[in-house]
Amino acid sequence: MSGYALQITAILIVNVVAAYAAYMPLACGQLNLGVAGFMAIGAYTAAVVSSAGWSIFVSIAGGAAAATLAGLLISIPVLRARGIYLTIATLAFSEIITAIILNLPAVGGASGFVVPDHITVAPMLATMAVVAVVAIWLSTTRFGLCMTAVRNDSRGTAVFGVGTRRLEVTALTIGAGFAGVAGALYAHHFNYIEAQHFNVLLSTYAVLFALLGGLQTPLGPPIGAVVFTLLPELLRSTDQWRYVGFGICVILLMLLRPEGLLTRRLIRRTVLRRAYT
Amino acid sequence: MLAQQIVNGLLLGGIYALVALAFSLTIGILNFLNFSIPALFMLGGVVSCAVLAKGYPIAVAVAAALAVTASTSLIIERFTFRWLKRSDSHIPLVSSLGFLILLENLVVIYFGSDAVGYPSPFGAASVRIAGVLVSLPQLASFALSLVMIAACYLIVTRTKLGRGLRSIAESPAVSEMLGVDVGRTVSGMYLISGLLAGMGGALFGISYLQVSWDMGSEVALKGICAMVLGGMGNIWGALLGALIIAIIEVLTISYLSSDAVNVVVYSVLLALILLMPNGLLGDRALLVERM
Amino acid sequence: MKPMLFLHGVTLAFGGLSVVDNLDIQVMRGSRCGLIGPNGAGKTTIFNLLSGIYRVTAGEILLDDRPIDDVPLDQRIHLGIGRTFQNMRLMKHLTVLENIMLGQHRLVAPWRRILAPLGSPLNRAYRDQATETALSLGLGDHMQQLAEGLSYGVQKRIEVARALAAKPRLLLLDEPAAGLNSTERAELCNILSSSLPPDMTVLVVEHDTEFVKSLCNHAVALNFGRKIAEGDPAEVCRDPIVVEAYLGMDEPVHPAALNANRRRGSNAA
Repeated sequence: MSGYALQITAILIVNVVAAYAAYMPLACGQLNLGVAGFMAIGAYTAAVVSSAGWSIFVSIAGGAAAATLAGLLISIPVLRARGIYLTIATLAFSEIITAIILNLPAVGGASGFVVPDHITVAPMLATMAVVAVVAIWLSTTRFGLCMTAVRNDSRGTAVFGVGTRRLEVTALTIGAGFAGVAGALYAHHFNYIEAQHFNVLLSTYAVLFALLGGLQTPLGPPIGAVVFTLLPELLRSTDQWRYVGFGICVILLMLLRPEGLLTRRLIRRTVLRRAYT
Repeated sequence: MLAQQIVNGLLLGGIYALVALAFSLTIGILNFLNFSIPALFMLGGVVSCAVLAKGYPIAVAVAAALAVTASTSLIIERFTFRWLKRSDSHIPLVSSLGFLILLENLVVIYFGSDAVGYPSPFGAASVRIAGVLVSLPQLASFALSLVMIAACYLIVTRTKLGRGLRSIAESPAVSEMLGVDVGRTVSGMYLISGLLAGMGGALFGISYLQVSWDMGSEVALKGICAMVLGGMGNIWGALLGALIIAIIEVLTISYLSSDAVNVVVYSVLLALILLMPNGLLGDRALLVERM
Repeated sequence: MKPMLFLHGVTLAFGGLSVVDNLDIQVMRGSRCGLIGPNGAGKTTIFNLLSGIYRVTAGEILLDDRPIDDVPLDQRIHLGIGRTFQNMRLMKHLTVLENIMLGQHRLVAPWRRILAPLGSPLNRAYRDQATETALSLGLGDHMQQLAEGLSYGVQKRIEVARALAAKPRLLLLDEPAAGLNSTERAELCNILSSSLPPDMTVLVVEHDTEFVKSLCNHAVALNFGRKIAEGDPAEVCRDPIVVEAYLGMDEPVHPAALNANRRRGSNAA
């Protein structure tokens, strides 16, 4: 595989995992704009752990664990807020994390951090597969059922005894863990991280991949990530025109197909060839 | 000197108030965070800058800026899914993100990514009052902001459009049954946001003599913070919150550093949401009973 | 015999407006009780009070002698209270079977909720129960179909099936026949009569008096948030006060007249 193709694949893998990170809270109806903050925690933790001599396996696990813990700690107070307040709070949290990192000379501050160990695409794919399997497994259980139910109608679901708050905290925490994995993968493949990379735009893209791919199934986020990572590459024009195209895609999709690319109905009609009545 | 800082802060706050008000009204009435507002803010600054650079007088430049932002806002409305039920409420927000990405990058393509000097006819004229240096353009901007906010208040409380807006804020479905022309009222809302944001951008250019493609994002953060501080949906709350945020910003710059501003503002925002989400003057108190 | 459900002097007021006023209702275990009355009489409000969406302003609600007003909304199901909603709250993107299995939630152990895929052997018993409930409500043909594409009548039955899946002791059916034509209504009435477990206490809010007469063995009539008649469904429906309430009048019935007639109709079974 050419160097360019490997590069794109690596970016794609990180995007898929980041999309899953955004998907978990979104599937419960919570818009988390703080994905980048958790990615930063995962990336920097992994970088520090691996600089201390541990293997990549340990550092990725460490990054995921740190991000998961952060997710748990932040989601309990933040999920008391609802709707828009929640979104803004996650946004604020993410920016505070990056600002703190910027001011920590121990991890390089504004000049960034060089990460020693390199991870090649194959183990990255394996890690991504693990994340995907976990996400898909969860969505086949009652947990997944409840996530969909809460997203559709939170109060109507509470009436059946579903602890909606606990569900949302769990989903956000798991999502944070996925984000930590994404950050750690990024750190080990590109071998250089800086706080400025983990900004609102990054969170926005993670969210958009999940939304544009479709929240109804756990296959939506990777599809969104694949389509919207590869499409700009295929268009091959300058950075700005690519983003213009991306913006137009977002607008059109929200206008014409807000449920995303992949819906359950679509799966039934095409893959399962079930007659739709 | 403290008094000087406070005065600077207050004058800056006027501009933040316009953005905060645009966000606040959209949340209060349409119940979503409209990320195209920072884009419209930027358009206001950039368009007025371009018109001024061609040699037209300031009034024409500002008028052109307002025309562009108002019509862009209406176009945005046309291309946003009508979502009147509460589920799937992320649609207009995500749509507005799309417009933000689109507009910011179009501006980079046509105007470049560097900050551009704003050829304001007023320059940096200033006057000394009681030992404090007051920039005249900033003072005029502040006054104009107050006028616009007062105008908004009057529109919302005294006019038919305002009644329609308040009615939709309560319940779009019931409003339709009561005979409110929901379509036109919603368009009115987008129009007002466009005018507020566009004016904010033009005034920013006049006051700070510089515009750039990303001027919207910086102000957006502070506008959102001001909105939450004052109370979402509360008109005078937007002004109060904006003034406080601006003063916090100015004090942070002089006593800490300009890099610390974002951390401080974001921390204030997070603390507010966790501890006092209804803000100082009360949430959704747009419906004037509070005033 | 003590009533299973006892609303005692229950009042719900918003500001100065009493939606439900000093209500006394007793429902015996196993009875099928219909709540009838014109729009705005407070019928759905009673359901909202019972399921925890509203709290009483005055009075108390006793379930098996235990006051339940302090129990939060998501705990009511554990008391055995299940309900359907007037403006159906089905999950559109889930299949019929999945919707019904959602109703089983409170019966399932926490570890099974997060670890066991719905299609796996670990959930076989629950799938079977859900299938059985679906079949008893005539939903056999639709079980794997998404709820959003189905007809209104079918969706109403899914609502009921979902509420039944939680094995409630007290089932609240909120206008189950609303929006159905007369054939569909008769069909639903038959299905309910045969599928509702005999030991389950059922409260039904309905406008259709024929439906109530066929399904219920006891009826309570309300108007303006007050009880205006109670007793055998056929008699209650014939009661002139009730008829007037439905047909509307030039002048509203004076509360004093209501009081005089309330004593007439208060032979609770």
